[in-house]
Amino acid sequence: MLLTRFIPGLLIKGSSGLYKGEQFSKHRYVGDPMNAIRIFNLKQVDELCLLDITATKEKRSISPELVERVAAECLMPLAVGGGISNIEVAANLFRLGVEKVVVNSAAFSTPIVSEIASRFGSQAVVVSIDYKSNWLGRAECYTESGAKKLGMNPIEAAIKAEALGAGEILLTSIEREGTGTGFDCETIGKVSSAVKIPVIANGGAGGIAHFAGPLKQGGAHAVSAGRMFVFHGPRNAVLISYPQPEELEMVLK
Amino acid sequence: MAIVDYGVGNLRSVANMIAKADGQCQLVSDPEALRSFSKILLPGVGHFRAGMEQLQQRGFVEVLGERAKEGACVLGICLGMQLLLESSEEGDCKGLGLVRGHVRKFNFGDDSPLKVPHVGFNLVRFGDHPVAKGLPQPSKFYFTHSYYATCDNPQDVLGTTEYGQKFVSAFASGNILGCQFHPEKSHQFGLAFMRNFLEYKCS
Repeated sequence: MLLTRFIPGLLIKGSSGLYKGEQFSKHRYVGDPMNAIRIFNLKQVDELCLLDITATKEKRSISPELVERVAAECLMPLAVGGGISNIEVAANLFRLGVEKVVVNSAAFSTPIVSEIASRFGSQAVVVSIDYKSNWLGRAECYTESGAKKLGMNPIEAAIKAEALGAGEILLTSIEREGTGTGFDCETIGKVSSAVKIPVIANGGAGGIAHFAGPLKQGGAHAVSAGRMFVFHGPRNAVLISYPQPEELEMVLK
Repeated sequence: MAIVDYGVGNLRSVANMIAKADGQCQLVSDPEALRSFSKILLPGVGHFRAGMEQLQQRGFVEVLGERAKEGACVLGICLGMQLLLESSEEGDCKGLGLVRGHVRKFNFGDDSPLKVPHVGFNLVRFGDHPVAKGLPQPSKFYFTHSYYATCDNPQDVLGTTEYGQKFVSAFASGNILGCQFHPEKSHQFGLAFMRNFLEYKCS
């Protein structure tokens, strides 16, 4: 049967390198993405997700030159995102060797999701939903790297994304991401049960033990992590790492 | 080896993996050029009928048939594997017919939790064959397809995978091989498989 995926989520800013932050801010430079990819290649990583977090704000999309280099180096399926709002931009990325395109800011304001789904298949488009709680404690979605309110809660957004033809949902808790304090299993559970398409839980992973929650109780199909795979230790030294297959298998038991 | 460039599929990833496996390869868009290669890789992603039409229009069909008869080693990947068979339900179309078998669609019914296309890593159990040398049993490979191959001759089945049913995920019929999975997206396992194919002596 299909195996659960553990996906490193790497963030870049333009072509200037890998970054990792906390709650969508305080980003620290981590290094050259190519180096990270070479390491992940050796560790049998299931899938890589590379997102350009300043693309939409800077009114561009993820650099095709960078994607071409990454795709050439990558020995596993690659999902990329960052300012993708145009079908020809997406088509070019597929030509460069990308398996999936991740859409966030343009997902509900342009027809890009259904365009990609009808031309390349739903499995080629992932809708990324970022959310945090408002002062009433209710989850609200944001776009543009957390800068703009979408006007929907994550469950509504997920249902709409599925209707548009998304193949998967990447669900990120802005409050938890980068903190290593664990996943928001409650919201993950609510979103997973609202849609039929796979949900990738993202935001909060501090260790392998955290993975069990979203998968077993939350009903997520896959988990993604950033900080856990690029930092190590109490002083957050940069270390690209990935658990051994046996360690991940233990999580699923 | 030659990688058939017929306008379908992402060739760069395949070429990159061959380079990583310390192999040499060339993208070939002129069918006549295939005659000088003893190993031919037929990649492919997308629709069966569209793939066959491209092969026809670019003049690859006859040459592939001849090279196969002459004993050249052919490996079809994903759609490429399917095109080597006799026919497909996708587009209700005839294939190259170099291996006896057909291509069918996964059909699990609307109530099934199993989604089509089959996308993601799944396990392949290989039979005894040089191309599977050293691969753990089972091995993880990356799949993305809605149609699957069936082989008329059980001896041709090289690898099987379970997705709602057991299906042929790799075949080896003499010098014609095929794999439904994408070795170029299956990191260490794909690299090992590719290395084995580079070393494999067909005849």
